[in-house]
Amino acid sequence: MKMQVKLPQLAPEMASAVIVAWLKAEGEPVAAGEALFEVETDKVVSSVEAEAAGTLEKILVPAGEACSVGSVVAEIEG
Amino acid sequence: MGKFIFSKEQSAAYHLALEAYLHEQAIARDESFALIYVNRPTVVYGRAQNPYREVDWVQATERGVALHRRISGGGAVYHDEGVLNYAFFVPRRQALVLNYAYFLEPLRAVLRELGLASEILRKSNLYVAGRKISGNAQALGAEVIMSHGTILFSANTELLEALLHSPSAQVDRVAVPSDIACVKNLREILAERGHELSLGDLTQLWLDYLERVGLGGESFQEGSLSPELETLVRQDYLPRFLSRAWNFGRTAPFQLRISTPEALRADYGEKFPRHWQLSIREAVIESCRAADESEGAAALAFGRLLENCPLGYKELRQALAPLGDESVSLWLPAFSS
Repeated sequence: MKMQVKLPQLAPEMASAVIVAWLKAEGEPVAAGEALFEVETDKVVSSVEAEAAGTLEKILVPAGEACSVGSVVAEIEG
Repeated sequence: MGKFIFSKEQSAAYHLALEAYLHEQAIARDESFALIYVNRPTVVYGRAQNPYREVDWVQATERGVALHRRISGGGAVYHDEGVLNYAFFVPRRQALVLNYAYFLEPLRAVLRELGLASEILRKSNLYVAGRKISGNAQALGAEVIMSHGTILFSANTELLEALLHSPSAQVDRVAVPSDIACVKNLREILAERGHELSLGDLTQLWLDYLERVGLGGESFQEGSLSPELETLVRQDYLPRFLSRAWNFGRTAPFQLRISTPEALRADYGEKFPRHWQLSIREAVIESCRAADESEGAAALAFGRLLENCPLGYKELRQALAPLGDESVSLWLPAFSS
């Protein structure tokens, strides 16, 4: 089952963020709660954990790119 | 009751490693910490930045200024013996995320006691009399927040302005750009208002405030790092912050456009390309091609000198050595002007 990974809202005023780094590569397994990628917004860097376990199938927003809160940044095959 | 630690080290790499340890190990899960330190001349840039874009890295190297990447966000900042750095490590609460005002309150209170009003602009920068004296950034962990910043007290502003230039038009991949602002040393501002203070004086006032009033109602007492912790930081964390892979290799792929130095064009002839397009990945020059011009044998030979060369000072010197020392000295600034 394909699950969408979205950019979460870390703070009420956050509208977008830059993907700093992917901590997993496409094809790698991911555990629920494991740090999956890092984002930066307003000088804050935060890691974002996977909500469910599976395999990171596709990275849709590469490191260095910005996207809006709620954007689908990757897909996990559960 | 929180603890503050005044580090006597002057290595930016060590302090960045210590910050990473305190943050990643969630040391402040139950008890807050404040780390205070001063570094030797260094430019420290943000987690997601392209240092080649943000810093005149060739000049930094030639002037003995170290370059290091930190774990938090934000822009490039200059450190030297006239810059006080602080880092708070507190248990994570939603209200403190992006709340730079909370962490700046002790400094602002000290400035008020000295008769200086301050304002926070662009969320994380502290200004006095219209000039920026402090920049701040955060890193969020699952259980803790690190919020850190600098106080520009008596820095070498000539060097700061020479090294932290506006975003380079020749680098196409922006990553997270620095917020270039008009800075001024706090010591000058204080002196203009009749206060002759040293950095040590300001530091003591700030620490006294932390002991007396604290941060968010939590006061701080002086503490120290155990020898075991220091050893662990040096062995397990410091190598990362000294490594080329972390400081430069983490840069997202980008294109760099450079120009043949004017002083060399006569020697190379009219047919030699004036501009070059370099593809950089993991801080290595993947390819170097003439930009918008046809390539002759000399151009191809030049490109081959740089292919697979790490984009670093000594590496470029070595790769370009066949051109002769004088030419190399003219070429190097082209890579970061």
